[in-house]
Amino acid sequence: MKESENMFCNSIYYKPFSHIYTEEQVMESKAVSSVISHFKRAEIIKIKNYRDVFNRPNQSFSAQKKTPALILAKKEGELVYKGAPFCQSFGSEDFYYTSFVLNCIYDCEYCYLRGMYASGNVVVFVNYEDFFSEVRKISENKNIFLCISYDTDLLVLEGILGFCRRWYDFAAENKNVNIELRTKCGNIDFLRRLKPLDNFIIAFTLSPEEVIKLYEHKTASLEKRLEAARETAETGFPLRLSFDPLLKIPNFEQVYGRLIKKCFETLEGKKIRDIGVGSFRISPDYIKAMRKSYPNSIIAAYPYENTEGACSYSREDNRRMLEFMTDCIKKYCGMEKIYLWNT
Amino acid sequence: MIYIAAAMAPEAKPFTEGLELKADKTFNKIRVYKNENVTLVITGTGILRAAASISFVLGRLTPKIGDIFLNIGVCGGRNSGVFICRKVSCYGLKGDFYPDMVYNSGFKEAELITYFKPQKNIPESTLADTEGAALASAVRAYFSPDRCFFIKIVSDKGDFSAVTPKTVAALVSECFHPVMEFLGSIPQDEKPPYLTAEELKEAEKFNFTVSQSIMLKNLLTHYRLKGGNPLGLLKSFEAVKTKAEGRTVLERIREYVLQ
Repeated sequence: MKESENMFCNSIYYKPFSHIYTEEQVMESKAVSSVISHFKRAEIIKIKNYRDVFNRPNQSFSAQKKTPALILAKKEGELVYKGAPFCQSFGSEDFYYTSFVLNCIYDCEYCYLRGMYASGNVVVFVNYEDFFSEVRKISENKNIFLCISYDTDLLVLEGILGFCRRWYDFAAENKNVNIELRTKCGNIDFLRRLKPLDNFIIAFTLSPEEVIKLYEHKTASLEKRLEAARETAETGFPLRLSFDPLLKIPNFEQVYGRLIKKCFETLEGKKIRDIGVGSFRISPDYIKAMRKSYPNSIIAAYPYENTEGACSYSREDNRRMLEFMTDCIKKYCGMEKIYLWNT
Repeated sequence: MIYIAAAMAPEAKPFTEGLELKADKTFNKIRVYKNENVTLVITGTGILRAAASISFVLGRLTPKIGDIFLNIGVCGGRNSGVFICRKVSCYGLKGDFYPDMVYNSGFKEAELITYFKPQKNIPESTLADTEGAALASAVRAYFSPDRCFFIKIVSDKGDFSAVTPKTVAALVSECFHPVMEFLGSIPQDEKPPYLTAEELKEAEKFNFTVSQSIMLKNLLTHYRLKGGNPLGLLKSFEAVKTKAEGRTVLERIREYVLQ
């Protein structure tokens, strides 16, 4: 039994999603009923606005993260955002991101969500049609690249929310929207019966098993992710690999070298659409918040250099790590497929 | 430290006696009882008294991160029992408070509505008191919502004739042990690996500026988490006389820590 599963047996902690906060305005919606039906024993708490629970000051992100509550809400205001400068656009000039869900049930120690949100609880926006309308409006006269799984991992929640399937249907009708679904999950059940679409990219974040065990809590093993990636490529969906973030760990070259070798023993280079590589970087405000919430995290405590508004390893360290990764990857597929994030 | 607020002396009595709390005479207008781990405040009844008393006491004692707040007392309700509140609101006012439901107390859950005066008609599935929301409003600046607990024992259904100091003390007394057991089982916050007083004293020999001291603190925190001994590292460097020497030392510490 994994440590995370063991925690809830005879434990002082409630189980995750034992409490569901629901905005009054969406209480009667079908989407809310559908989500709640998965948690028959959950306590439902009526709220006026999700911000009253999610955005409060003085919350303990780390305590909430141990057993997050679910918040069901309607998103108002801006629904689709321009891609952040810290994120890879894979050559697209019109890069956007959006999120039906805020926060993730995975708990990666380096994740910027630990510094971005005041709360460790998970918000689900149920007015997805409003998001779709907004994306249609933005993409009316142009092709756009849209990431839908940045501030969460949508795929791991698919059994409860079914949002990946909704985005797939949207992609099928809107060919000028190139959607990226990024995940650390090993379960791609929802793809199995679907016809592949060129504009629906499945991106797997891959890390060495050593990094997964130490820092990517609750995520799928490397083996499972690679198997899911292999199956994704077999089904014909565009496959993206993301070696991002690279962490400066002891024996970097041996550990990451083994990762690349293992990847290309499982996956054929020609079946991969493209590969993103980037070293760890984060905004100074987020790293400050992470250090406060997780004072014992060795990742948060690293004395990063602040270069042009991004905290990362030194330029020399980043250059060395990216060069090493590029050299390894290009043995298996062409340079034109590799996208680097550089400070 | 656990901070407990009770409106009336009979509600506080099982705790002052059970925990052997001693009166803190430095608070001459408010009744405060303490031991090494617990501070109990008798706030007085009603919204204004509750908010004013707890604010005054917390302003003076300044709770630390990880401290716990408990409001214990009787309330009105349609069903009898001991309840932990998952929502605390004030009738007619905005600003509901949601204690985080992270830890399972085993008590039944309910929503507490605080009124300006005792209620005869209490809505179904809610509890009624005259202090809870005021306390919530005052303590949210001091405690994280996962460490705020409002535990209420139903004493009446809106008919107060049978409620006496003796019955109140008896009701609260019954839940004293389960409440303390629950609070005692809440995990303490991890101890941050910050510099010790001895390490800070040792670092004084470098005459670092404020920003250099912050950089040193970050470097040594990381070093400690890697398994290093910050004091030993600091001692391996000699005192500096000039700013330039200080910069060199900091750079050498950085190189050593990051190697």
